[in-house]
Amino acid sequence: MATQDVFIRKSSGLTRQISARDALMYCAMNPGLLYCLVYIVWAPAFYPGAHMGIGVLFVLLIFPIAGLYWYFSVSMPRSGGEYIYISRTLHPALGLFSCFVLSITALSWTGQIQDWWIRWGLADAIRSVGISSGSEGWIDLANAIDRPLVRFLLGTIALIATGWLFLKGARAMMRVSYWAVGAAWLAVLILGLLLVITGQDGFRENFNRLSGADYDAILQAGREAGAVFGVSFVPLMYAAVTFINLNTLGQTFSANLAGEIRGVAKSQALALFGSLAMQMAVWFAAYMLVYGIVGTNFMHSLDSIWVTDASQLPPALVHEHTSSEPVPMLLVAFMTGNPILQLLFGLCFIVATWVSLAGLGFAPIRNVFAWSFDRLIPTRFSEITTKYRAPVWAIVAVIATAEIFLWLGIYSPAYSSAILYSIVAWFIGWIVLGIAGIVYPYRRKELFEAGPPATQKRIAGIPVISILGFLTLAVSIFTEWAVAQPFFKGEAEANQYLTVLGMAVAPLIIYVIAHYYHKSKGIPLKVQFSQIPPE
Amino acid sequence: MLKLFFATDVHGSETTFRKWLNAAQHYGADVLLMGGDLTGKMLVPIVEEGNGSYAARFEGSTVRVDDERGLVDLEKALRQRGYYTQRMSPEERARYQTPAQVEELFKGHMAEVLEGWVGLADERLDPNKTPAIWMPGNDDLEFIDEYVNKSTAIQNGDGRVIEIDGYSVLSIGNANVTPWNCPRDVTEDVLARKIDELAAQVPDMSRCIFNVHAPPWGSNLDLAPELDEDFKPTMEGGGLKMIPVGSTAVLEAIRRWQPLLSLHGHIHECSAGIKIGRTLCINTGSEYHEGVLRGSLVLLDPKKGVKNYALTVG
Repeated sequence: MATQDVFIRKSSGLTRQISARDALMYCAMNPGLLYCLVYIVWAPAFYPGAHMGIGVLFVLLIFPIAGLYWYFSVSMPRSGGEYIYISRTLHPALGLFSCFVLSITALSWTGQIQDWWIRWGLADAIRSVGISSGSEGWIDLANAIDRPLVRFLLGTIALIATGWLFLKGARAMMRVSYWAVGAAWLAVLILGLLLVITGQDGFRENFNRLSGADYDAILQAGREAGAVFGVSFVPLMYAAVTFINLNTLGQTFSANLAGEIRGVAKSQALALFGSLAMQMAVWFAAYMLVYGIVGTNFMHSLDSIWVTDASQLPPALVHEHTSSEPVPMLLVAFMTGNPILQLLFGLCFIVATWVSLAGLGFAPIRNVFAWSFDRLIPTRFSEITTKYRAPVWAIVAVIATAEIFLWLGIYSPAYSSAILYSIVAWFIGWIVLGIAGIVYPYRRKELFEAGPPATQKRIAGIPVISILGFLTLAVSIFTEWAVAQPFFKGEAEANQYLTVLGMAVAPLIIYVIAHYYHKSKGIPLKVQFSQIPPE
Repeated sequence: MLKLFFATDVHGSETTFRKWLNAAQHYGADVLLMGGDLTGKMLVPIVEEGNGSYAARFEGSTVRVDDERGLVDLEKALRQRGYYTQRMSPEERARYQTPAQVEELFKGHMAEVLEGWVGLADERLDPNKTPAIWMPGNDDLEFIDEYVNKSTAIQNGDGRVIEIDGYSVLSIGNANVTPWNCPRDVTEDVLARKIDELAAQVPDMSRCIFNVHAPPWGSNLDLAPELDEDFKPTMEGGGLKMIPVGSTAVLEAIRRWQPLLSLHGHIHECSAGIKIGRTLCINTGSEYHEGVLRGSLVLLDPKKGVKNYALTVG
């Protein structure tokens, strides 16, 4: 048959593909859209003077990185992901390295952040009902859920459920992904509603009545604890780069599906850039609404008191078993006395968070499969069982790794903070990706020249992909500098150094072992990646 | 020890075919095998706009070139990705209205490209030094046999058993019926009969290599996106829902005859190696569109069978 553009003949494999909307939702659901409700506590606590609403503007720094993913995914649509991009452009060992740190970072979140929805989505929503109703029973229930063993068991059940979904391949998973985005927007709507019906005056009145403390006294205590009333650029920058930009992890995962996306150039543009825009909108709305209801200075005061000495928080906010972050899912107790609204707000956090974790765990499965396929790790991990039609061992490996991180997060708080610095390793991965982008048109000239016309554009004679590679490199180095301040100041603990070092060295060790093993078996590893001259 | 290199589904891509020709030297392979689907699926009209400039619209973009050099570069880039190209005036472009007209246009390009490939192969490959076999696949029109048979360096293996260094290579380019009803799609019964007729000619199955385009059903070498009634892939678990689409006839033949090695293509998304009984089955997949030659390097030991193998991305 003839189309308006290209003549296409009847042959196998010509399918209609994933829509731009599906690709957009896939990218949008992976980053936890409601993690912002935790970062509104942490970021200003660690960086007094940071205003999270304004900090959302720093997400603009991620756009060049999304642009680089767009270029790569359109240039090599049939095989996506940074592992392929870097392996083909630089070296397979560097591809493994970059992909490994990104995967482990994602998995550390998949495991550790299970604890977030349990503590702040479930327990704190229940606690808020207890605070506003004066019912000890609800508070006792929240305290019971906060116990480490209960959290570990609930997190384990959630991880098993995630693995089961991967194995089962339930169609419901994609629908649930849409629910995650819906839950995030519903949470924003609830906050908007509470701003209208309660407002800051109502919050102040409820707080004074229910918390066992005085609103103005908290402001005073917060200032004494180091809270900065007003915006200060340097802390804002650190807070935004560390907590807001890092929240975008998973936003580029549509690159792995690029080959199946219809109109890949336009659809990927919508997915990669549109999801960032959607995230910015959700985060900006959530931050500003919380500030609007609670009061910016009051929120920052609570944050500073929490980080200085959480026992000085109002009695109602002090937790028996956990670190008492005054998150909005708890503060909702002073925003409304309606238990349905309180629990619904917590449920939104649970859904958006848990689904995002499933999304973050999904991409590493594909990566483990790819490493196995390339003989870097045992081939068992790329076996697809006839029963489940899924790479069972890759899924088991991913869920088991996430389970370890869940355990570390709950039982070893020191490692929990080290995991935060695993982000340092993640951006090392993007530094390598940036370098790959810079050199791609020169090292892989034949692939670059054979790419779609949209990928061959130049500015002042320099390929746009090289410019985006440079920007990715620059943003990643800047991010490293910002995130690694505690390292530079000598404030980081030994396990934080070791975590980063371990994540960086492990893939290189794996590569060296695989290299010598296969060399001894007659077909060296390098053979399978070497480029055949095309002429 | 025999080292063979297998690739498949080049679909008209100039780059990947040339890489296949160069693979023997690059990998030190003794034998070259090519699975089916040699010809391309798409043709880009490059339409004259006057004053020596041309425009081509593909992959969501319009490319304009203003001189002959730019035009040649564009044609080369498209050929590398497996597109055929045709320069034409707007009037000529408008004349192509029916599938029959388009098919005729395709046929001309297929013939021209295959003739070029045959010439290149005959120039570069010495059949006494590096035996080579290729064949049409289910997507290839019947008329191309005439061109595929012309080469003195590469034998057309389709429907034959060819002896190479003590190994029997059994080749069949047909596939079980696809949703697109391709030129060489056949029913499972026909496919089973064809395989059995050839397998009966093989003296020793422990030294037989199946070169069968369609992968065995349910083997995980045949997983392709499930399509809805609108030919759109369905999603699940955050990714594509994959289902087996291979051939039950091929599966039964492998189970029954247990050749040493069974090489497949057809399903581009599904690159892997698995065992069915004693037989190592490989689908290399295909990334012809990106100019990447996916292949498989297999070391055959006369006593031990398959000593090692690797899936390559060349």
